[in-house]
Amino acid sequence: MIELKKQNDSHYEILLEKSFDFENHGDFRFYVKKIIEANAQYLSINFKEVEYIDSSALGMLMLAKHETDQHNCKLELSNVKDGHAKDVLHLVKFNQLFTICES
Amino acid sequence: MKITHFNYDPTCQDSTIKSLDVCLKELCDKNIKTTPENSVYYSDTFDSIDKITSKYGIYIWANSPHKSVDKLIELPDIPSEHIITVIGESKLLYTSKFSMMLSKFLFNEAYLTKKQSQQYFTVLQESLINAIEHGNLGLSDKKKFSIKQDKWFDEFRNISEEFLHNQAAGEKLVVVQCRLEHENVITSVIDEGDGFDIDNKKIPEEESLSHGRGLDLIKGIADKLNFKNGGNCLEFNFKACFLENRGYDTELSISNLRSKSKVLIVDDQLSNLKVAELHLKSAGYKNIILATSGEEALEICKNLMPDIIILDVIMPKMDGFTTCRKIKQSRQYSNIPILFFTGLDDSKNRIKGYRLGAVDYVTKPIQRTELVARADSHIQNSILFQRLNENYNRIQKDLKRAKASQLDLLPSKDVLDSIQMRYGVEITSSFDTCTELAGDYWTTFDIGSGKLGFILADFTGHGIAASLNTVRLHSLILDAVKLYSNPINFVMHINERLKDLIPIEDFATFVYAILDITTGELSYIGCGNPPIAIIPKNKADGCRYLKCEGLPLGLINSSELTLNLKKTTLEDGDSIFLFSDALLETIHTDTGKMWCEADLLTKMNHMYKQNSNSNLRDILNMYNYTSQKPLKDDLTLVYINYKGDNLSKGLPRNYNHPDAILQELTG
Repeated sequence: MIELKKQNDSHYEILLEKSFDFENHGDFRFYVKKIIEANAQYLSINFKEVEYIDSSALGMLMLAKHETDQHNCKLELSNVKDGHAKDVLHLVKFNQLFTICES
Repeated sequence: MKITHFNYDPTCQDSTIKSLDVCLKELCDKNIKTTPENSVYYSDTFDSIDKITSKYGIYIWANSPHKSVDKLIELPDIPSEHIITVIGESKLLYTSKFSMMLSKFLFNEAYLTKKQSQQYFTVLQESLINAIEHGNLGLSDKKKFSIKQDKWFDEFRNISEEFLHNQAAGEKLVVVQCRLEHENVITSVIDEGDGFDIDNKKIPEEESLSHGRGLDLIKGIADKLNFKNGGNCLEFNFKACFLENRGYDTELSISNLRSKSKVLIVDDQLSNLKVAELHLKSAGYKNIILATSGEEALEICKNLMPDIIILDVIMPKMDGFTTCRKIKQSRQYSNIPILFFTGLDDSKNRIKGYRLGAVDYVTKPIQRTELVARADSHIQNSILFQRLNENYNRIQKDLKRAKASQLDLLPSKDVLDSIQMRYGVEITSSFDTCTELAGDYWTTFDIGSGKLGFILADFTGHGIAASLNTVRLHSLILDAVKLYSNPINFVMHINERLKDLIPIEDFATFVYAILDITTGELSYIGCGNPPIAIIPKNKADGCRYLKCEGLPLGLINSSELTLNLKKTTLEDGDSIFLFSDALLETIHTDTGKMWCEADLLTKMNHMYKQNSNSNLRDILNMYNYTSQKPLKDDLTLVYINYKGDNLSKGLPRNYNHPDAILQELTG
């Protein structure tokens, strides 16, 4: 299960699990919606645990980007470590669209 | 239609009869006749029984007085289609008892949910108080009290005293009538007072609803509120919970099931058959077929196709188990739910019954509530199961057709043969989906001037939604035929159109490659696709990758998109291998890991070292040998062998694309 963490009133974090894929679709969308409703200023999507992502996950990230852009919320992909997830993010050049902080 | 009368008028015998008059008149107005056959009369006191029976001929069910109102709830079950009347003395003290009794009854009978029954209690109590305040007490406008007034408690006491005075005269009554109609619990509170609009004898208008105490509350809670009989009858509705509120349609409503289902009861004991039949009939089951032997039951099955079978275990000749086995062995009847009659502690027979395909059992001696509940439940389950099967088959059929349509989007064998014949380029492919429909797509087309175009795309996700995107892409590609020879403009165009067409979270990794067969030049644009593998004719040189990094299509506007057109030259006999990411990302049982790019290259080199003539089939075999099934993603592989021999180089020079000929002819 992916987790939603509140760092403070304006900073939220979504902590992903080992595999970020279609299974997380419902939870991820729900959390993004809640964060936007809470008028968050900052959303960090934590890749600390992630070893695999699929194309649906990339779609979810695009959705999060769309929502946060519309509500002036800063979005960051954090703790992206060497491995499949990082390779995929680079393959699709998501570094052009997202702030990616590598660990 | 059954009618049930609850009498709660322990003292005023004459007024009980009077109120029964009111009640029966109400029913008569609705063209419902009460007869000894359809009416049941429950009374808290039976002093008045003689008078009632002699006047109405109503059948008396109970034969001993009940001291507590709550006990009435425990009286025998009442069929689903019935009317309940509560006849009561107009005592404020009894309003909550009445209301509690009826709301509990409706909950126990599963007409209302727990929450609804609590709401029902509030509404009924408010309605009774309204009836008493505006009806029975015959209060004038001046005397009408409101909880908004400062001294409401004093007012309430005064009214209560006046009410008690009137009650002592034993004049006026309140009748509550509750019926189940069109899946609604409809309750009428009828009083004999002056009605809601005392002066004009009119039914209150919408704006004058505040006239009565608590009417707003009733209106807010009940699903519907009506006034009848010049304001003397307040009628409110609650939706019955076992139907729409649980998401069932009317076909699955209990009343519908009971009236339409065919129940076959099999027992060699006639008395058991009759008891079961009586119980089911009293609950509203209309089509009950009785059989006294297993043989007879099988014959009946052939002719009547029952919806449920209730079987006794021990019968002469063919026993229940054999009958059950024979029914379950028949393809035609195997879906009919079978219940066994068993003793309460007969676990051995129960287990045997379950093993033979029975769904449940009914204990002997037969209890009405249990028999009806199990029959209801299993008929309903059987219909739901049948529907589930039908829907599953329909969806499977649809998906099969959709899959065939999706495969039609891919280049046919004829197209590939024609390319091979014309250009000597051999194309083989594999298209494997993880569900019926895929988010992958590939195509090839003749651009003219000796050039062939190749596209491989992979949309986010898989299944129906992703496959619809591949249909969109296919149309866009067909429409952009004039841009084929200009790869940057072509990809920009596809991106712009996809951006408009598909949802935000959808996009496609994409590769567009153009092979000039006269020169061997391969130009390509990668948009987040896995790399293109080049397999050299001289296998000792080792396979290599052409990187396809880039933003996928459909994400951002073309004005912000940067595309890189890269070029390389193929030697005669080299091959191009396009693949979707599933090839790299599938977990393999040999290592428990994904192959990733480097592993795939190593494996391919190893494969070619062992057999230089390896082809797509060998790569696929290598993959299938260890990949975990079922696939988590769609897998598309396209293997293009560029012969580069005389056939390849000779024919294209003489070949003119039909568009070019057309252009030449039309100038």
